[in-house]
Amino acid sequence: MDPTLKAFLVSWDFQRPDVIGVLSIFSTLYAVGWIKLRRKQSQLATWPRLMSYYAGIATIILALFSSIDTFQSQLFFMHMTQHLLLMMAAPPLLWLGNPMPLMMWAIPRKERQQLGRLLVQKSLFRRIIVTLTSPWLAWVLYSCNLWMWHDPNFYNTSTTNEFVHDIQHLTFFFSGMILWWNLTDAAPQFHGDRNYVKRLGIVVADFFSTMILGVILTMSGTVIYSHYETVPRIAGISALYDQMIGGLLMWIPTGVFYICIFLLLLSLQIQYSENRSRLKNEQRRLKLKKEILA
Amino acid sequence: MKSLVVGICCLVVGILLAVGPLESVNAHALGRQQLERVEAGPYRITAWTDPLEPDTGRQLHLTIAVEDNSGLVLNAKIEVEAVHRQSGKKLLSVASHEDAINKLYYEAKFEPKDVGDWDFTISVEKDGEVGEAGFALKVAKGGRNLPIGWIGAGIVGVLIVGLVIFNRLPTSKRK
Repeated sequence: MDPTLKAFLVSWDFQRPDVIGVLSIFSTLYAVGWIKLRRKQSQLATWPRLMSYYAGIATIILALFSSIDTFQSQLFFMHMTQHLLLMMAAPPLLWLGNPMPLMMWAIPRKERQQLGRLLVQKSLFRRIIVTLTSPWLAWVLYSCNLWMWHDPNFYNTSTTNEFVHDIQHLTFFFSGMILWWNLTDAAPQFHGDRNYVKRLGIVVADFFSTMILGVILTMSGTVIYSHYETVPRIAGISALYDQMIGGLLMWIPTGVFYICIFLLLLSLQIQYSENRSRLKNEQRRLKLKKEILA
Repeated sequence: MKSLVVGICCLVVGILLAVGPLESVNAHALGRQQLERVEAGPYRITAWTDPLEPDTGRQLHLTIAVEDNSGLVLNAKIEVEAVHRQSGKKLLSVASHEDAINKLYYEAKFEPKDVGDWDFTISVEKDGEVGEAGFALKVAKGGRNLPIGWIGAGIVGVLIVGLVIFNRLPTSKRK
């Protein structure tokens, strides 16, 4: 096997007990809640949801512990791959697992009721969360975060300072989680608007925001992030070519992904509109029948 | 109200847990670049040191990359000598792929116990071809590095256990 490829495959780093600890806690809570609800034959605990949630966990592990993380300081496109996994792959997978109610069920009943009180309609906590995670604010935070960390000064600092790098990953992940919470409409459905038009708008806005950044990175004739000019190059990939690949990743596959999400949401919107129309017609028919009989 | 206060405390401490530097753990980044593709015989050497501000209380990780005209050089014999300028004390370490997180690089570890200036010399040898490069590094006095992350985790754990116990106390005993 090519030594470079071999080194790439084995350069995993698990020396992050803090991240492992947090992932273990949330994985355990989900599993316990899922098993409890499964025993009650609840429709919340389905196999697709379980697989989706743990696929999300696996994506985080891949992003933070695999060679992708090890090589991100040497290859720009690896760093982009890592960010895309944290912002666009892990969050929707996690939310599609509907984690909130399942993890709540893992908690003992008294504590679950206390936590539940935080989420009731009139609670201050809920009102704060609803405000901070509103759809368009979520998009603004997501986009601003994405563009801010691609500023050369911030970016170069993140490649050499582990603390700054951690902050970068946390902001990417949490902004992705808030955005995808709105898009997947997972529980708790604080933004319980079943109208998909708002979500379609967010996807379009996000598509352009990410695509423009990808185009800038791909088409730039100079290396934007000077860090990559100071590190040894792998497999003869120059720093500029590396940047082009990273830009293309943000432009093409990401763009295709957003288009697929757009089409999915559009089909759901059409279905929703048809169902509403059918319901209204039925109600009108019943009202007319009632008037005739009266 | 009590739940909200506890929830906020857990959130704050949880954030501390997430972002606090874990000094007690051996995880490290590449760190500060000391050499940038410096010519050393037939090779070019790049070196980084971590932590960014080395001190006598922490292990110093030296990550080394070696290139030649055909790319990265693997399985070379690399020795690193560190000499304390003020006392003349010497430390010697062999850099290897095994110790490095990135298996294309080499890593050497040091535990400099003396404050002041240290001169590092990296010697590379492979198939009879040798190269050498060096840099200087200032090591400060080690302070108390509080593992903020672990302290945060401990506080969160205590709060959660405390809440669970409190909930199970008979109502008369809670007052």
